[in-house]
Amino acid sequence: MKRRTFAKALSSIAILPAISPIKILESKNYQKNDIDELCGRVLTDDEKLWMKKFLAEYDKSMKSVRSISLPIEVFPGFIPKYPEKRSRKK
Amino acid sequence: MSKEIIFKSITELSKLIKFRKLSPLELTKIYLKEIEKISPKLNAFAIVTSELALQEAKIAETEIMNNNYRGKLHGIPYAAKDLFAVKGYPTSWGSNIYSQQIFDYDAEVIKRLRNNGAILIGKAAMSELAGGPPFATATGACRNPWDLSRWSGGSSSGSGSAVAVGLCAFALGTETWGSIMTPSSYCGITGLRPTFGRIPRTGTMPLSWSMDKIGVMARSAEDCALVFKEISGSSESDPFSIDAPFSFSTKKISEKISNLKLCFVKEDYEKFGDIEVGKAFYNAIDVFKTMGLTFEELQLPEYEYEAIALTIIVAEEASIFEPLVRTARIKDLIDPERSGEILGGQTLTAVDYLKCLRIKTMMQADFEKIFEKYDAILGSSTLTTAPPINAKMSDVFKGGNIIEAAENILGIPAVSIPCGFDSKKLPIGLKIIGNYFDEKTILELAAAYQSATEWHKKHPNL
Repeated sequence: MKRRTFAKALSSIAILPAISPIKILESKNYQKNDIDELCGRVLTDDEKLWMKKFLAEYDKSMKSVRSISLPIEVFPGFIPKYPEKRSRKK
Repeated sequence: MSKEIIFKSITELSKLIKFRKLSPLELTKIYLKEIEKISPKLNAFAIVTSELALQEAKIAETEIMNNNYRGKLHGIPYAAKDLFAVKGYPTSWGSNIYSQQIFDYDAEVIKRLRNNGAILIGKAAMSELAGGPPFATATGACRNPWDLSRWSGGSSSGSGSAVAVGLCAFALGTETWGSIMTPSSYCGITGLRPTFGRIPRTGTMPLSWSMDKIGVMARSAEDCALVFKEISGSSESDPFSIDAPFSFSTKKISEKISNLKLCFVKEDYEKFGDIEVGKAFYNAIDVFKTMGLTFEELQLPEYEYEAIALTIIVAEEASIFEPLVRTARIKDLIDPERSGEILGGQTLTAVDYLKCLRIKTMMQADFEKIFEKYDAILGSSTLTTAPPINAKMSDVFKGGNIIEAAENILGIPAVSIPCGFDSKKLPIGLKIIGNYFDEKTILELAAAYQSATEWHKKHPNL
Protein backbone atom coordinates (compact mmCIF):
# COMPACT_ATOMS: atom_id res chain seq x y z
CA MET A 1 0.00 0.00 0.00
CA LYS A 2 1.30 3.48 -0.88
CA ARG A 3 2.05 5.73 2.05
CA ARG A 4 -0.78 8.17 1.16
CA THR A 5 -3.33 5.42 0.72
CA PHE A 6 -2.24 3.90 4.01
CA ALA A 7 -2.58 7.27 5.80
CA LYS A 8 -6.05 7.66 4.30
CA ALA A 9 -7.06 4.18 5.38
CA LEU A 10 -5.68 4.82 8.84
CA SER A 11 -7.65 8.05 9.25
CA SER A 12 -10.84 6.36 8.10
CA ILE A 13 -10.31 3.68 10.74
CA ALA A 14 -9.77 6.39 13.33
CA ILE A 15 -13.03 8.08 12.38
CA LEU A 16 -15.11 4.99 11.78
CA PRO A 17 -13.73 2.11 13.80
CA ALA A 18 -14.51 -1.29 12.40
CA ILE A 19 -15.47 -2.53 15.84
CA SER A 20 -17.80 -0.32 17.80
CA PRO A 21 -16.77 0.59 21.36
CA ILE A 22 -19.75 -1.37 22.64
CA LYS A 23 -18.47 -4.49 20.90
CA ILE A 24 -15.05 -3.95 22.48
CA LEU A 25 -16.63 -3.83 25.92
CA GLU A 26 -18.44 -7.07 25.21
CA SER A 27 -15.27 -8.78 24.02
CA LYS A 28 -13.74 -11.41 26.27
CA ASN A 29 -10.41 -9.67 25.92
CA TYR A 30 -11.62 -6.56 27.65
CA GLN A 31 -10.11 -6.53 31.12
CA LYS A 32 -12.67 -6.34 33.88
CA ASN A 33 -11.88 -6.24 37.56
CA ASP A 34 -12.54 -9.91 38.13
CA ILE A 35 -10.67 -11.93 35.60
CA ASP A 36 -11.45 -15.61 35.38
CA GLU A 37 -9.47 -16.36 32.29
CA LEU A 38 -6.00 -15.34 31.13
CA CYS A 39 -3.94 -16.43 28.15
CA GLY A 40 -6.58 -18.99 27.22
CA ARG A 41 -6.72 -20.63 30.61
CA VAL A 42 -9.22 -20.52 33.48
CA LEU A 43 -7.48 -19.24 36.60
CA THR A 44 -7.53 -21.12 39.88
CA ASP A 45 -8.87 -19.47 43.03
CA ASP A 46 -5.32 -19.04 44.35
CA GLU A 47 -4.22 -17.36 41.17
CA LYS A 48 -7.19 -14.99 41.26
CA LEU A 49 -6.31 -14.08 44.84
CA TRP A 50 -2.59 -13.44 44.08
CA MET A 51 -3.51 -11.30 41.13
CA LYS A 52 -6.18 -9.34 42.98
CA LYS A 53 -3.68 -8.56 45.73
CA PHE A 54 -1.04 -7.42 43.26
CA LEU A 55 -3.43 -5.28 41.24
CA ALA A 56 -4.83 -3.57 44.34
CA GLU A 57 -1.29 -2.49 45.36
CA TYR A 58 -0.37 -1.60 41.82
CA ASP A 59 -3.38 0.59 41.23
CA LYS A 60 -2.60 2.48 44.43
CA SER A 61 0.95 3.22 43.29
CA MET A 62 -0.09 4.17 39.76
CA LYS A 63 -2.78 6.65 40.82
CA SER A 64 -0.63 9.75 40.49
CA VAL A 65 1.21 8.53 37.38
CA ARG A 66 -2.12 8.22 35.57
CA SER A 67 -3.09 11.76 36.52
CA ILE A 68 -0.05 13.31 34.82
CA SER A 69 -0.69 15.21 31.61
CA LEU A 70 2.16 14.96 29.14
CA PRO A 71 2.84 17.31 26.23
CA ILE A 72 1.78 15.65 22.98
CA GLU A 73 5.31 15.82 21.53
CA VAL A 74 6.82 13.60 24.23
CA PHE A 75 7.83 10.28 22.69
CA PRO A 76 8.49 7.14 24.71
CA GLY A 77 12.11 6.95 25.87
CA PHE A 78 13.77 3.79 24.77
CA ILE A 79 17.53 3.28 24.80
CA PRO A 80 20.39 5.72 25.31
CA LYS A 81 22.50 6.66 22.30
CA TYR A 82 26.21 7.32 22.19
CA PRO A 83 27.53 9.98 22.21
CA GLU A 84 25.31 11.23 25.00
CA LYS A 85 25.53 14.91 25.88
CA ARG A 86 28.66 15.18 27.98
CA SER A 87 28.54 15.80 31.64
CA ARG A 88 29.92 18.96 33.19
CA LYS A 89 32.94 20.40 31.42
CA LYS A 90 36.01 19.51 33.41
CA MET B 1 48.81 -19.96 51.54
CA SER B 2 45.43 -20.48 49.87
CA LYS B 3 43.78 -17.67 51.92
CA GLU B 4 46.49 -15.28 50.69
CA ILE B 5 45.80 -16.26 47.09
CA ILE B 6 42.00 -16.27 47.05
CA PHE B 7 41.63 -12.61 48.00
CA LYS B 8 44.25 -11.31 45.62
CA SER B 9 43.09 -8.83 43.00
CA ILE B 10 42.88 -9.78 39.35
CA THR B 11 45.83 -7.49 38.64
CA GLU B 12 47.93 -9.31 41.24
CA LEU B 13 46.83 -12.77 40.10
CA SER B 14 47.41 -11.95 36.45
CA LYS B 15 51.00 -10.87 37.16
CA LEU B 16 51.66 -14.14 38.98
CA ILE B 17 50.12 -16.09 36.10
CA LYS B 18 51.85 -14.12 33.36
CA PHE B 19 55.28 -14.61 34.94
CA ARG B 20 54.51 -18.29 35.65
CA LYS B 21 54.71 -17.97 39.42
CA LEU B 22 51.18 -19.33 39.69
CA SER B 23 49.59 -21.75 37.28
CA PRO B 24 45.94 -21.32 36.22
CA LEU B 25 45.40 -24.98 37.11
CA GLU B 26 46.79 -24.51 40.61
CA LEU B 27 44.67 -21.37 41.10
CA THR B 28 41.52 -23.10 39.84
CA LYS B 29 42.11 -26.03 42.20
CA ILE B 30 42.54 -23.63 45.14
CA TYR B 31 39.21 -21.95 44.37
CA LEU B 32 37.46 -25.30 43.79
CA LYS B 33 38.70 -26.52 47.18
CA GLU B 34 37.39 -23.35 48.85
CA ILE B 35 34.05 -23.79 47.08
CA GLU B 36 33.80 -27.38 48.28
CA LYS B 37 34.52 -26.29 51.84
CA ILE B 38 32.54 -23.07 52.07
CA SER B 39 29.82 -22.92 49.42
CA PRO B 40 27.45 -25.43 51.14
CA LYS B 41 27.29 -23.07 54.14
CA LEU B 42 26.22 -20.24 51.84
CA ASN B 43 24.22 -21.80 48.97
CA ALA B 44 26.34 -19.57 46.75
CA PHE B 45 26.39 -21.80 43.69
CA ALA B 46 23.62 -23.31 41.58
CA ILE B 47 26.18 -25.52 39.92
CA VAL B 48 29.96 -25.85 40.20
CA THR B 49 31.44 -26.47 36.75
CA SER B 50 34.55 -28.26 38.08
CA GLU B 51 35.13 -30.39 35.01
CA LEU B 52 34.84 -27.46 32.62
CA ALA B 53 36.98 -25.26 34.89
CA LEU B 54 39.80 -27.81 35.10
CA GLN B 55 39.65 -28.33 31.36
CA GLU B 56 39.81 -24.57 30.67
CA ALA B 57 42.58 -24.17 33.25
CA LYS B 58 44.70 -26.85 31.56
CA ILE B 59 44.25 -25.12 28.20
CA ALA B 60 45.21 -21.76 29.75
CA GLU B 61 48.26 -23.30 31.36
CA THR B 62 49.44 -24.86 28.10
CA GLU B 63 48.91 -21.60 26.22
CA ILE B 64 50.84 -19.57 28.77
CA MET B 65 53.66 -22.10 28.86
CA ASN B 66 53.80 -21.73 25.07
CA ASN B 67 54.14 -17.94 25.39
CA ASN B 68 50.60 -17.38 24.18
CA TYR B 69 49.43 -15.06 26.96
CA ARG B 70 46.03 -13.58 26.07
CA GLY B 71 45.84 -10.78 28.63
CA LYS B 72 44.95 -10.01 32.23
CA LEU B 73 41.96 -12.35 32.40
CA HIS B 74 43.89 -15.35 31.11
CA GLY B 75 43.67 -18.14 33.68
CA ILE B 76 41.45 -16.13 36.06
CA PRO B 77 38.53 -18.16 37.55
CA TYR B 78 35.14 -16.45 37.71
CA ALA B 79 31.50 -17.26 38.49
CA ALA B 80 28.49 -16.33 36.35
CA LYS B 81 24.98 -15.78 37.68
CA ASP B 82 22.80 -18.72 36.71
CA LEU B 83 20.94 -16.74 34.08
CA PHE B 84 23.75 -16.80 31.54
CA ALA B 85 23.55 -19.63 29.03
CA VAL B 86 26.54 -21.98 29.18
CA LYS B 87 26.52 -24.62 26.48
CA GLY B 88 25.72 -28.08 27.82
CA TYR B 89 25.14 -26.99 31.45
CA PRO B 90 21.79 -26.41 33.20
CA THR B 91 20.70 -22.78 33.35
CA SER B 92 17.88 -22.71 35.85
CA TRP B 93 17.29 -18.94 36.20
CA GLY B 94 16.96 -19.63 39.93
CA SER B 95 13.69 -21.49 39.41
CA ASN B 96 12.55 -25.08 39.76
CA ILE B 97 10.52 -24.56 36.60
CA TYR B 98 13.66 -24.26 34.49
CA SER B 99 15.88 -26.73 36.37
CA GLN B 100 16.20 -28.98 33.29
CA GLN B 101 16.86 -26.13 30.86
CA ILE B 102 20.08 -26.61 28.88
CA PHE B 103 21.17 -24.28 26.08
CA ASP B 104 23.29 -25.42 23.15
CA TYR B 105 25.14 -22.11 22.97
CA ASP B 106 27.05 -19.76 25.24
CA ALA B 107 25.84 -16.31 26.24
CA GLU B 108 27.78 -13.58 24.41
CA VAL B 109 29.45 -12.46 27.64
CA ILE B 110 30.57 -16.01 28.43
CA LYS B 111 32.06 -16.25 24.92
CA ARG B 112 33.95 -13.00 25.41
CA LEU B 113 35.38 -14.14 28.73
CA ARG B 114 36.36 -17.49 27.22
CA ASN B 115 38.12 -15.67 24.36
CA ASN B 116 40.07 -13.81 27.02
CA GLY B 117 41.08 -17.11 28.63
CA ALA B 118 39.01 -16.63 31.81
CA ILE B 119 37.88 -19.82 33.55
CA LEU B 120 34.23 -20.44 34.41
CA ILE B 121 34.29 -22.06 37.85
CA GLY B 122 30.55 -22.18 38.48
CA LYS B 123 27.12 -20.72 38.03
CA ALA B 124 26.20 -18.52 40.95
CA ALA B 125 22.89 -18.88 42.78
CA MET B 126 20.24 -16.25 42.15
CA SER B 127 16.74 -15.23 43.14
CA GLU B 128 14.02 -16.93 41.16
CA LEU B 129 13.66 -15.25 37.76
CA ALA B 130 15.87 -12.45 39.11
CA GLY B 131 13.54 -11.17 41.80
CA GLY B 132 11.98 -11.83 45.18
CA PRO B 133 12.76 -12.40 48.84
CA PRO B 134 15.53 -14.70 50.26
CA PHE B 135 13.43 -17.88 50.19
CA ALA B 136 12.47 -17.41 46.53
CA THR B 137 15.22 -19.44 44.92
CA ALA B 138 15.63 -23.02 43.75
CA THR B 139 18.95 -23.40 45.57
CA GLY B 140 17.95 -22.36 49.10
CA ALA B 141 18.30 -18.87 50.56
CA CYS B 142 21.77 -17.53 49.80
CA ARG B 143 23.54 -16.66 53.04
CA ASN B 144 25.79 -13.74 53.76
CA PRO B 145 29.41 -14.74 54.54
CA TRP B 146 29.67 -11.94 57.14
CA ASP B 147 26.85 -13.50 59.15
CA LEU B 148 25.30 -16.79 58.05
CA SER B 149 21.96 -15.92 59.62
CA ARG B 150 21.62 -13.05 57.14
CA TRP B 151 20.85 -12.69 53.45
CA SER B 152 23.39 -11.90 50.77
CA GLY B 153 20.87 -9.77 48.89
CA GLY B 154 19.40 -10.36 45.48
CA SER B 155 19.03 -11.13 42.81
CA SER B 156 22.75 -11.65 42.07
CA SER B 157 22.93 -13.38 45.46
CA GLY B 158 25.56 -16.06 44.83
CA SER B 159 27.77 -13.67 42.87
CA GLY B 160 27.87 -11.39 45.93
CA SER B 161 28.60 -14.13 48.46
CA ALA B 162 31.15 -15.95 46.29
CA VAL B 163 33.21 -12.84 45.57
CA ALA B 164 33.10 -11.65 49.19
CA VAL B 165 34.41 -14.90 50.65
CA GLY B 166 36.97 -15.58 47.91
CA LEU B 167 35.40 -18.41 45.94
CA CYS B 168 36.36 -16.78 42.63
CA ALA B 169 38.27 -13.73 41.45
CA PHE B 170 35.16 -11.98 40.12
CA ALA B 171 31.58 -12.73 39.13
CA LEU B 172 29.04 -11.66 36.58
CA GLY B 173 25.75 -10.30 37.82
CA THR B 174 22.77 -8.52 36.32
CA GLU B 175 20.57 -5.69 37.48
CA THR B 176 17.10 -4.63 36.49
CA TRP B 177 16.39 -2.80 39.74
CA GLY B 178 18.98 -3.19 42.52
CA SER B 179 20.24 -6.70 41.77
CA ILE B 180 23.94 -5.77 41.64
CA MET B 181 23.90 -2.83 44.05
CA THR B 182 22.09 -4.72 46.85
CA PRO B 183 24.27 -7.87 47.08
CA SER B 184 27.42 -5.78 46.55
CA SER B 185 26.42 -3.58 49.47
CA TYR B 186 25.32 -6.42 51.77
CA CYS B 187 28.40 -8.55 51.01
CA GLY B 188 30.99 -5.74 51.16
CA ILE B 189 32.26 -6.00 47.58
CA THR B 190 32.58 -3.69 44.59
CA GLY B 191 29.82 -3.95 42.00
CA LEU B 192 29.62 -2.16 38.67
CA ARG B 193 26.30 -1.72 36.91
CA PRO B 194 27.18 -0.18 33.54
CA THR B 195 25.11 1.97 31.22
CA PHE B 196 22.20 0.11 29.62
CA GLY B 197 23.39 -1.64 26.46
CA ARG B 198 27.12 -1.50 27.06
CA ILE B 199 27.36 -5.26 27.57
CA PRO B 200 25.36 -7.37 25.12
CA ARG B 201 22.71 -9.60 26.68
CA THR B 202 22.49 -12.38 24.12
CA GLY B 203 21.99 -15.68 25.94
CA THR B 204 20.93 -13.95 29.15
CA MET B 205 17.52 -14.42 30.79
CA PRO B 206 15.39 -11.38 30.02
CA LEU B 207 13.34 -9.84 32.79
CA SER B 208 12.88 -6.39 31.28
CA TRP B 209 14.17 -5.67 27.77
CA SER B 210 14.42 -1.96 28.45
CA MET B 211 15.99 -2.17 31.92
CA ASP B 212 18.22 -5.30 32.21
CA LYS B 213 21.96 -4.63 32.49
CA ILE B 214 24.89 -7.02 32.88
CA GLY B 215 27.57 -6.00 35.37
CA VAL B 216 30.73 -7.04 37.15
CA MET B 217 31.12 -7.89 40.83
CA ALA B 218 34.67 -7.97 42.18
CA ARG B 219 36.81 -6.91 45.13
CA SER B 220 37.95 -3.52 43.81
CA ALA B 221 37.01 -0.82 41.31
CA GLU B 222 40.19 -1.56 39.38
CA ASP B 223 39.15 -5.21 38.94
CA CYS B 224 35.65 -4.19 37.82
CA ALA B 225 37.18 -1.82 35.25
CA LEU B 226 39.48 -4.52 33.96
CA VAL B 227 36.69 -7.03 33.37
CA PHE B 228 34.28 -4.39 32.04
CA LYS B 229 36.83 -3.33 29.40
CA GLU B 230 36.95 -6.88 28.05
CA ILE B 231 33.25 -7.66 27.98
CA SER B 232 31.74 -4.35 26.86
CA GLY B 233 31.03 -3.39 23.27
CA SER B 234 28.20 -4.03 20.88
CA SER B 235 27.27 -7.34 19.32
CA GLU B 236 25.22 -7.97 16.21
CA SER B 237 23.27 -10.51 18.21
CA ASP B 238 21.90 -7.87 20.61
CA PRO B 239 20.22 -4.94 18.85
CA PHE B 240 20.17 -2.97 22.09
CA SER B 241 23.94 -3.15 22.55
CA ILE B 242 26.00 -0.01 22.07
CA ASP B 243 29.63 0.81 21.33
CA ALA B 244 31.25 3.55 23.36
CA PRO B 245 34.84 4.18 24.35
CA PHE B 246 36.16 3.26 27.79
CA SER B 247 39.48 3.88 29.42
CA PHE B 248 40.60 3.54 33.01
CA SER B 249 43.85 3.96 34.83
CA THR B 250 44.79 4.40 38.47
CA LYS B 251 47.79 6.54 37.56
CA LYS B 252 47.60 10.02 39.14
CA ILE B 253 44.08 9.17 40.20
CA SER B 254 43.76 11.83 42.89
CA GLU B 255 44.83 14.49 40.39
CA LYS B 256 42.28 13.27 37.84
CA ILE B 257 39.34 13.48 40.20
CA SER B 258 40.30 16.64 42.11
CA ASN B 259 38.29 18.97 39.84
CA LEU B 260 35.11 16.96 39.83
CA LYS B 261 31.91 18.41 41.17
CA LEU B 262 29.70 15.99 43.02
CA CYS B 263 26.29 15.98 44.59
CA PHE B 264 24.68 13.63 47.06
CA VAL B 265 21.25 12.25 47.80
CA LYS B 266 20.00 13.01 51.29
CA GLU B 267 18.12 10.10 52.82
CA ASP B 268 15.99 9.73 55.93
CA TYR B 269 18.05 6.93 57.52
CA GLU B 270 16.12 7.05 60.75
CA LYS B 271 12.81 6.43 59.01
CA PHE B 272 13.82 4.12 56.16
CA GLY B 273 17.10 2.51 57.18
CA ASP B 274 19.90 2.41 59.73
CA ILE B 275 21.45 5.51 61.27
CA GLU B 276 24.83 3.73 61.19
CA VAL B 277 24.55 3.46 57.40
CA GLY B 278 23.94 7.21 57.25
CA LYS B 279 26.99 7.93 59.41
CA ALA B 280 29.21 5.79 57.18
CA PHE B 281 27.84 7.60 54.14
CA TYR B 282 28.70 11.06 55.47
CA ASN B 283 32.13 9.79 56.56
CA ALA B 284 32.70 8.68 52.97
CA ILE B 285 31.77 12.14 51.74
CA ASP B 286 34.36 13.55 54.15
CA VAL B 287 37.01 11.27 52.62
CA PHE B 288 36.24 12.74 49.20
CA LYS B 289 36.31 16.27 50.62
CA THR B 290 39.86 15.69 51.86
CA MET B 291 40.75 14.99 48.22
CA GLY B 292 39.51 18.46 47.27
CA LEU B 293 36.12 17.53 45.88
CA THR B 294 33.11 19.72 46.43
CA PHE B 295 29.57 18.60 47.16
CA GLU B 296 26.05 19.91 46.95
CA GLU B 297 22.81 18.26 47.92
CA LEU B 298 20.86 16.95 44.94
CA GLN B 299 17.25 17.96 44.58
CA LEU B 300 15.86 14.91 42.83
CA PRO B 301 13.29 15.87 40.15
CA GLU B 302 9.82 14.87 41.28
CA TYR B 303 8.49 11.72 39.65
CA GLU B 304 6.76 8.57 40.80
CA TYR B 305 9.98 6.67 40.11
CA GLU B 306 9.01 3.42 41.78
CA ALA B 307 5.57 3.14 40.19
CA ILE B 308 7.13 3.86 36.78
CA ALA B 309 9.91 1.28 37.23
CA LEU B 310 7.37 -1.27 38.44
CA THR B 311 5.06 -0.71 35.47
CA ILE B 312 7.85 -1.09 32.91
CA ILE B 313 9.30 -4.20 34.54
CA VAL B 314 5.97 -5.90 35.20
CA ALA B 315 4.65 -5.21 31.70
CA GLU B 316 7.80 -6.59 30.10
CA GLU B 317 8.18 -9.60 32.41
CA ALA B 318 4.49 -10.41 31.94
CA SER B 319 5.15 -10.64 28.23
CA ILE B 320 8.37 -12.62 28.68
CA PHE B 321 6.84 -15.14 31.07
CA GLU B 322 3.38 -15.28 29.46
CA PRO B 323 3.97 -18.98 28.57
CA LEU B 324 4.04 -19.73 32.32
CA VAL B 325 0.53 -18.32 32.62
CA ARG B 326 -0.74 -20.12 29.51
CA THR B 327 0.63 -23.48 30.64
CA ALA B 328 -0.33 -23.01 34.31
CA ARG B 329 3.30 -23.52 35.32
CA ILE B 330 3.09 -20.21 37.14
CA LYS B 331 1.82 -22.16 40.16
CA ASP B 332 5.30 -23.72 40.42
CA LEU B 333 6.94 -20.38 41.21
CA ILE B 334 8.18 -20.33 44.79
CA ASP B 335 6.98 -16.84 45.67
CA PRO B 336 3.19 -16.38 45.33
CA GLU B 337 3.62 -12.60 45.18
CA ARG B 338 5.75 -13.04 42.08
CA SER B 339 3.07 -15.19 40.52
CA GLY B 340 0.58 -12.41 41.22
CA GLU B 341 2.92 -9.93 39.57
CA ILE B 342 3.18 -11.95 36.37
CA LEU B 343 -0.56 -12.71 36.32
CA GLY B 344 -1.46 -9.10 37.09
CA GLY B 345 1.04 -7.98 34.49
CA GLN B 346 -1.05 -9.65 31.79
CA THR B 347 -3.75 -7.07 32.47
CA LEU B 348 -1.63 -3.90 32.53
CA THR B 349 -2.65 -1.57 29.76
CA ALA B 350 -0.45 -0.47 26.89
CA VAL B 351 -1.50 3.07 27.73
CA ASP B 352 0.01 2.86 31.22
CA TYR B 353 3.18 1.20 29.90
CA LEU B 354 3.70 3.80 27.19
CA LYS B 355 2.92 6.62 29.57
CA CYS B 356 5.74 5.40 31.80
CA LEU B 357 8.11 5.27 28.83
CA ARG B 358 7.09 8.79 27.88
CA ILE B 359 7.74 9.98 31.42
CA LYS B 360 11.16 8.33 31.07
CA THR B 361 11.85 10.81 28.23
CA MET B 362 11.05 13.68 30.60
CA MET B 363 13.31 12.14 33.24
CA GLN B 364 16.15 11.81 30.72
CA ALA B 365 15.92 15.54 30.00
CA ASP B 366 15.95 16.36 33.72
CA PHE B 367 18.93 14.13 34.44
CA GLU B 368 20.77 15.62 31.47
CA LYS B 369 20.54 18.95 33.31
CA ILE B 370 21.79 17.34 36.52
CA PHE B 371 24.85 15.93 34.74
CA GLU B 372 25.54 19.30 33.11
CA LYS B 373 26.05 20.57 36.64
CA TYR B 374 27.60 17.54 38.37
CA ASP B 375 30.01 14.78 37.39
CA ALA B 376 28.54 12.16 39.69
CA ILE B 377 25.92 11.58 42.36
CA LEU B 378 26.70 9.86 45.66
CA GLY B 379 24.19 7.88 47.67
CA SER B 380 23.93 4.83 49.90
CA SER B 381 23.78 1.58 47.92
CA THR B 382 21.25 0.28 50.43
CA LEU B 383 19.83 2.08 53.46
CA THR B 384 20.34 -0.93 55.72
CA THR B 385 22.95 -3.63 56.14
CA ALA B 386 22.14 -7.28 55.34
CA PRO B 387 18.78 -8.31 56.83
CA PRO B 388 18.07 -11.63 58.60
CA ILE B 389 17.39 -14.47 56.20
CA ASN B 390 13.74 -14.68 57.32
CA ALA B 391 13.05 -10.95 57.32
CA LYS B 392 9.94 -9.69 55.55
CA MET B 393 10.93 -7.65 52.52
CA SER B 394 8.39 -4.98 53.44
CA ASP B 395 10.34 -4.48 56.70
CA VAL B 396 13.67 -4.30 54.85
CA PHE B 397 12.73 -2.04 51.97
CA LYS B 398 10.62 0.44 53.86
CA GLY B 399 11.14 3.34 51.48
CA GLY B 400 13.85 5.82 50.59
CA ASN B 401 16.62 5.26 48.02
CA ILE B 402 14.12 6.15 45.31
CA ILE B 403 16.99 7.27 43.11
CA GLU B 404 17.68 3.57 42.55
CA ALA B 405 14.46 3.33 40.55
CA ALA B 406 15.48 6.42 38.55
CA GLU B 407 18.96 5.02 37.80
CA ASN B 408 17.46 1.81 36.49
CA ILE B 409 14.64 3.35 34.46
CA LEU B 410 17.18 5.62 32.79
CA GLY B 411 19.93 3.01 32.50
CA ILE B 412 22.69 5.22 33.87
CA PRO B 413 25.76 3.55 35.41
CA ALA B 414 26.64 3.15 39.08
CA VAL B 415 29.27 1.46 41.20
CA SER B 416 28.81 0.22 44.77
CA ILE B 417 31.84 0.11 47.06
CA PRO B 418 32.22 -0.81 50.73
CA CYS B 419 32.46 2.26 53.01
CA GLY B 420 32.37 0.86 56.54
CA PHE B 421 30.76 -1.61 58.92
CA ASP B 422 27.90 -1.31 61.37
CA SER B 423 28.03 -2.35 65.01
CA LYS B 424 26.96 -5.88 63.97
CA LYS B 425 30.13 -6.05 61.82
CA LEU B 426 28.13 -6.02 58.61
CA PRO B 427 29.39 -4.12 55.55
CA ILE B 428 27.88 -0.84 54.39
CA GLY B 429 27.77 0.22 50.72
CA LEU B 430 28.40 3.57 49.05
CA LYS B 431 27.00 4.18 45.58
CA ILE B 432 28.51 6.46 42.93
CA ILE B 433 26.15 7.20 40.02
CA GLY B 434 27.33 8.62 36.72
CA ASN B 435 26.06 9.98 33.44
CA TYR B 436 25.35 7.70 30.48
CA PHE B 437 28.58 6.05 29.22
CA ASP B 438 30.67 7.70 31.93
CA GLU B 439 31.82 4.53 33.71
CA LYS B 440 35.31 6.04 33.66
CA THR B 441 34.46 8.83 36.11
CA ILE B 442 32.59 6.67 38.60
CA LEU B 443 35.24 3.94 38.57
CA GLU B 444 38.01 6.49 39.02
CA LEU B 445 36.16 8.03 41.95
CA ALA B 446 35.69 4.54 43.42
CA ALA B 447 39.35 3.69 42.89
CA ALA B 448 40.43 6.98 44.49
CA TYR B 449 38.26 6.20 47.52
CA GLN B 450 39.70 2.69 47.71
CA SER B 451 43.25 4.05 47.54
CA ALA B 452 42.46 6.18 50.58
CA THR B 453 40.58 3.54 52.61
CA GLU B 454 40.89 -0.13 53.52
CA TRP B 455 37.21 -1.20 53.65
CA HIS B 456 37.41 -3.19 50.41
CA LYS B 457 40.37 -5.16 51.77
CA LYS B 458 38.39 -6.61 54.66
CA HIS B 459 37.08 -10.13 54.10
CA PRO B 460 34.78 -12.48 56.01
CA ASN B 461 36.44 -15.41 57.67
CA LEU B 462 34.59 -18.68 57.21
